[in-house]
Amino acid sequence: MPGILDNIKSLFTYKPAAKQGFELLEGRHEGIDRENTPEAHNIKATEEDKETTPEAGSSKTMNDSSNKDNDKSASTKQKQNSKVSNELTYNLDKINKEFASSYNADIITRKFKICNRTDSFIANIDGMVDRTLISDFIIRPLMDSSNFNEYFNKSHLTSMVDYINDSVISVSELDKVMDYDIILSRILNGDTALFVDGCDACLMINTRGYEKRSIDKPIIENVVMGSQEGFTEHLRTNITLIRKIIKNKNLISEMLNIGDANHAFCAVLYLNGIANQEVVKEVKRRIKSINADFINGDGMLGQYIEDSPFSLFPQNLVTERPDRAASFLMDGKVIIIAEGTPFAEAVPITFYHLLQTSEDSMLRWQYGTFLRIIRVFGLLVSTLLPAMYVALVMFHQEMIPTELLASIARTKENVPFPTIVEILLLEISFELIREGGIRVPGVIGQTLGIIGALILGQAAVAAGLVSPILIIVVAVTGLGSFAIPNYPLGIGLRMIRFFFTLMAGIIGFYGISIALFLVACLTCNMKSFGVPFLSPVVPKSKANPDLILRQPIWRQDSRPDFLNVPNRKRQPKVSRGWTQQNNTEDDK
Amino acid sequence: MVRKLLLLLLVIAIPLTAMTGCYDAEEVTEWAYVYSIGMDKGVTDKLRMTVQIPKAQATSAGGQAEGSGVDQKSNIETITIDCPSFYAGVNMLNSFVSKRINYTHTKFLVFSEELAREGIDIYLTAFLRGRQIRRQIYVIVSKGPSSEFLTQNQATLTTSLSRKQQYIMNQSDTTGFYENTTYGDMLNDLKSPYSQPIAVLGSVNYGNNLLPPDGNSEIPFKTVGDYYAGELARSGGSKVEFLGTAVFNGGKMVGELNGDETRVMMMIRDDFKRGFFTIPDPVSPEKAISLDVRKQKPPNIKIKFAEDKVRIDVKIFLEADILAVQSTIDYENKEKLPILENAFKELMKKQVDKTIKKCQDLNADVFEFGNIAAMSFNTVEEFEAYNWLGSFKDTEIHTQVDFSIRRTGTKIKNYENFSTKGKEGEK
Amino acid sequence: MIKEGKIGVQEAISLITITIAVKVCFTSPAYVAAITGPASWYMTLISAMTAMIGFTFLYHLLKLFPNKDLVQAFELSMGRVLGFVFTIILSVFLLLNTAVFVREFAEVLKVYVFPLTPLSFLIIFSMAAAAIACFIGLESIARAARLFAYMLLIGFISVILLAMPTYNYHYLFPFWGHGFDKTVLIGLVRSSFYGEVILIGIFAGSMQGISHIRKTGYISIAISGITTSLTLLTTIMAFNYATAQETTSRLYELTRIIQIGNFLQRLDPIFLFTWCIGSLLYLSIMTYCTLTTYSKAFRIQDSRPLIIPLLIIVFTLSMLPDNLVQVTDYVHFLRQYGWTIYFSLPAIALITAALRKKRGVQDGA
Repeated sequence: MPGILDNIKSLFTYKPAAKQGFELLEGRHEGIDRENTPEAHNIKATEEDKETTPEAGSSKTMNDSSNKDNDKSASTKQKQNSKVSNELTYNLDKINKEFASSYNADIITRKFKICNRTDSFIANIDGMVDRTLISDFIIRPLMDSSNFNEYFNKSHLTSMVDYINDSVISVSELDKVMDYDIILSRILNGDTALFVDGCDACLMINTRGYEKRSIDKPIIENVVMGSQEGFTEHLRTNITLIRKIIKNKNLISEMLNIGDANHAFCAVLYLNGIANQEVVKEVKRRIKSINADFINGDGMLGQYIEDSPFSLFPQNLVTERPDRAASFLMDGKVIIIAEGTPFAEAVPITFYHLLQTSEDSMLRWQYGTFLRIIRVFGLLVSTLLPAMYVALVMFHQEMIPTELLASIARTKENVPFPTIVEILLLEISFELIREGGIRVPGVIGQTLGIIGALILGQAAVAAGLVSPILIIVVAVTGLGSFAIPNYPLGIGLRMIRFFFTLMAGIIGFYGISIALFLVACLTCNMKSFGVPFLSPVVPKSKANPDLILRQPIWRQDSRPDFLNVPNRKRQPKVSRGWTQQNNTEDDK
Repeated sequence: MVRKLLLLLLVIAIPLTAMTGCYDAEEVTEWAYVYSIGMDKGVTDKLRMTVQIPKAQATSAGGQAEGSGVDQKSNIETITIDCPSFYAGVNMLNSFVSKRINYTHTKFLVFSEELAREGIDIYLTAFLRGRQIRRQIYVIVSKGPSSEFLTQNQATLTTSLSRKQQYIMNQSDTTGFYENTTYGDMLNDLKSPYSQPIAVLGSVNYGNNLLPPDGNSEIPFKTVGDYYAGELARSGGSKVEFLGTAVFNGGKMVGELNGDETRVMMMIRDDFKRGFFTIPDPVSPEKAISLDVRKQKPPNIKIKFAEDKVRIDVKIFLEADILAVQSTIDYENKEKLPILENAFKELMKKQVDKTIKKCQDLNADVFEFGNIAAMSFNTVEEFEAYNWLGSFKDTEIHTQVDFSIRRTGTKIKNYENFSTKGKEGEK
Repeated sequence: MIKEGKIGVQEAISLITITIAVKVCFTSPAYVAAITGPASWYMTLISAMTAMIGFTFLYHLLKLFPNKDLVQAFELSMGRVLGFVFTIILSVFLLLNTAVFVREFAEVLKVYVFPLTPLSFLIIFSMAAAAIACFIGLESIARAARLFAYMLLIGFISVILLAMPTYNYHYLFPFWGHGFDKTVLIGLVRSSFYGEVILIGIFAGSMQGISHIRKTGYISIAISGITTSLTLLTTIMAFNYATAQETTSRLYELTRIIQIGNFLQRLDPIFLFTWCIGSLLYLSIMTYCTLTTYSKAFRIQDSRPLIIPLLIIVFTLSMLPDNLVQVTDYVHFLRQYGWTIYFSLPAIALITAALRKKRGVQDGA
């Protein structure tokens, strides 16, 4: 009641002009393309600088004091202050300044005394470290005087840091670092930095303990018979999953940095002696030459390193399953895993790999072949069926059996739209349903599948908007596209389907042939890391026993020819020794 | 760069979308699919053309078609028009038919006998040029006006007229009473010196042949195919009937063959598949025996060219299963079976000779002997100069029938009947 | 620069075979039926053998100049001026062939499938697709040919097999047609049907060695000879020689009469795929070869800007005749006299090179 009176009053009384709301206007520093991310314009640090006492003369390694103006360019600053100094306060100030810890609440510095004598502090990022590890295995042994008895006997021989490294801290990964770049990046990765007064090196201790997702079933690559482990977002877990499958000492994983601003890691895995070194070199060269701001995961990394970014098909295969990644490694391909998404990328690939799943190897060859043929059929149907329907019904009605034609004509009498409009309407609605179905939560999402689409379609038929045979066409097309195992390829084919339908609407089967011809020419032109996309069919190389039709597993004795691997033999011609042995021999 | 590419894609995609449905694209509902064409001599114009077009039925809101509930007769629209020529008629039809005429699904092409006797080669060679006319259309000569024939041509057992037309033409394989010649066959025969064209003989049968019983106890025994189209004594069923063949010389119809003669012709042409024959029992002639006769292997035809005489030796091979024996004579017996075979052979040979003589009188080589004759000539010029078709009437033809009975059905022995007279049997 | 790349044997064989064999879908078999009657199927085998002899000249010429293609071989054996003249003649001839072919293709398509579509519409589409393929490069065209080769072969074989109920082997007689001497003469003259084998010479630089060239030439002539002969054989059996000479396109009529049972009938639009993709490949490779011979004659490095003008020229040329009858006249002219360009130009170059004792340098000398 009083509120209403106030509101009415405010309508009639005078109020001074209200302040403007927040607007994002152009400032002085905008719009200039810089090469590197500039140093943050640290407003508060300038005030602090005036307060702290300069440490000008304390160490020989410092050239300029830390209270230099913050407007200097970042590179000179990095060069000048890049090494750890002996002075603990200097280090502490540096850490605080770099991380702007006065208002950045994530960085934690903990000062303590080692053995009740030496000052030291540890710096880490809250949430990324395992607190139990730090308390029990770092701070406790350091605070315990009994660990340092040996040290004080030979303090002239070793430095404190070396002694701590060798004898005190019982954590499994420990490094001595002197470069601030490395220190900062490793702190950001979850390590703890231990600075000891009087030592010009810092100890980086691996204390990573952030929350991460546990190993789960793969989400988009489901199989019925096969392992149910999928990759996660954590790089180390992913590499471990692969190493669990390939226990070979030649499995090399090289770490590279990607992303200039988010400093992510990516691992390049290959089998030494089986992978072609040229491909490995090319992969590393491309990754190292990327100058990008933010790369999170394989999807983005793949787009930076692929050969033809304007083509419609993917040139690298993204997989969620470690067993598939392992089989690619055994073929001689290179696996790239970037942290951030639970996927791994395999290069170089051909078109036929996009149609294979790991289940084909688990099952017997007859079942694998059968499933692959169904998938190829699904691919053809999802691309060509709407186009064929449009061409048949609009141009080539003579091919339709007479009775079917009569029934199509009968049901089409009710529909006001021409065939092209009908089919585009239904196709676009179907795409909407598919896209929406991904985001609809929980229980409704399950039912809003094909069944829901069919029921909607039936309602549309009843309303006289579309003809019933079109519902079948669109539903079978959708089913066909679900049969394609590779998700990017599925989307690419869904897009191409519209092109085919349009060409069919223009000029019937001739239009479809033109479209097929153009797509074939463009696809034959694609290369994936030097391998033509449609090998081994074109250009011809040695027949692959595992292309579409799968031969029995004991006959697949060589690696794919187009990869030009140094070691082509996988297994000898007779891989099942028991078939050659005399089976009347007794076991002795 | 990407903007340019996207712009290029838009520039391509939007005109592509706009260009759909150009020129040849016609919706299914914009065509009128003609199921049969009929050609007659016109009264006010040269030609009287009849077409049969299906009508789209009114459908319920659910889009379901009511096939069985709709009256069959109103399904098809039969239109007759007088026109100077076939394609002129097509255009004239569109003055009152709302959809464009489309002949790609036509099954029947019916000529009236009157027109056929005047010569239909002018029509056959004429409308082949249209891409819609296909060589698989069945050519039928109707003994009355074709407009009447087509008006009575309705689907009775099935809902779809096109299906009925297809199926009735398939019955030529079952009975051999008519040969399902197509437009392409007629054209091939018309244009070549190998043989003469034939067409299916059809007619309307109003059911007037089924006479009421008149107390006559002497009923003649006709052979099974001794009818021409329209003469079957029956009532009920579809009113159009196909039986027999129309024989042409070039483009003019010169004669007809009835059902039996057509079967013989098909046997020599190697088109006969099977048919039921009924012959009088050789031992007791007032009873009948039915046989299911099939082709055993292709006929053996040899042609010998002497100086001024041509001699043709024809041997046809048939085999049969016994379908019904009305008497109780045990034909399954080893001694009795050859009696039956020989009886059939003689009857068949008589029939073959009769047919060949009839065709020689008409001077029409419908047996495709010319195909074999061409093998004796070296070049096309020689063969064309020889004029095989003209000299058919002078050829000497010797025939032979080879026949054997294969199976006797579910009975392996025929026992006598018993009545008050004791054992009734003919030995 | 249009990418030349490297082509393997299988790709080259598919390309040349499709280029030669696709011409059988159009009007020339009808003309052949008129002049040779039932003997047309072995007349074409005689043509194939003559073409193989003609190819031998080309092969030996290329053998004299290893790793060089035909244009360079012309120049090296006959000097700059004469070589230039020969190359230009070849280029113009290929251009005429392309224009006549695209017009014939569009006309036959218009007769049988799209009666209402204007001719320029069909021609523009084909030429646009061929031009895009030219932009992409020879390697991709050859690979696409290899990709489609099996599909086209299966389509062709299925037509032949499905039409089997309509065959009547008696129509093959009288066996000698209009006279054996006439058949042989026509066969020798019409060897220009297989003349597209000269395209191997034009992209010989992309082939990997002279033995590949030899294999490609002989095998592709053999395969296309067999397919052409099979087509002519089966269409004579299905229609006798009298009707076959009347049809506009014998192979298409064969597809129109396929009828097996009640279901498999009127199947001809499916075979549109076969002949359309074959024709598109023909157009792409002929446009490409016209372009490269022209560019190599004038020493033009990058022939990409020439593609669109060439498209316009071909389109204009193809719209010149008034109707299909004139087009068939041009087709017969090209078939009668094409062998002078296809086979005698390399033969003259070979003889000249042998007389002048010119030899090509080996790689690395």
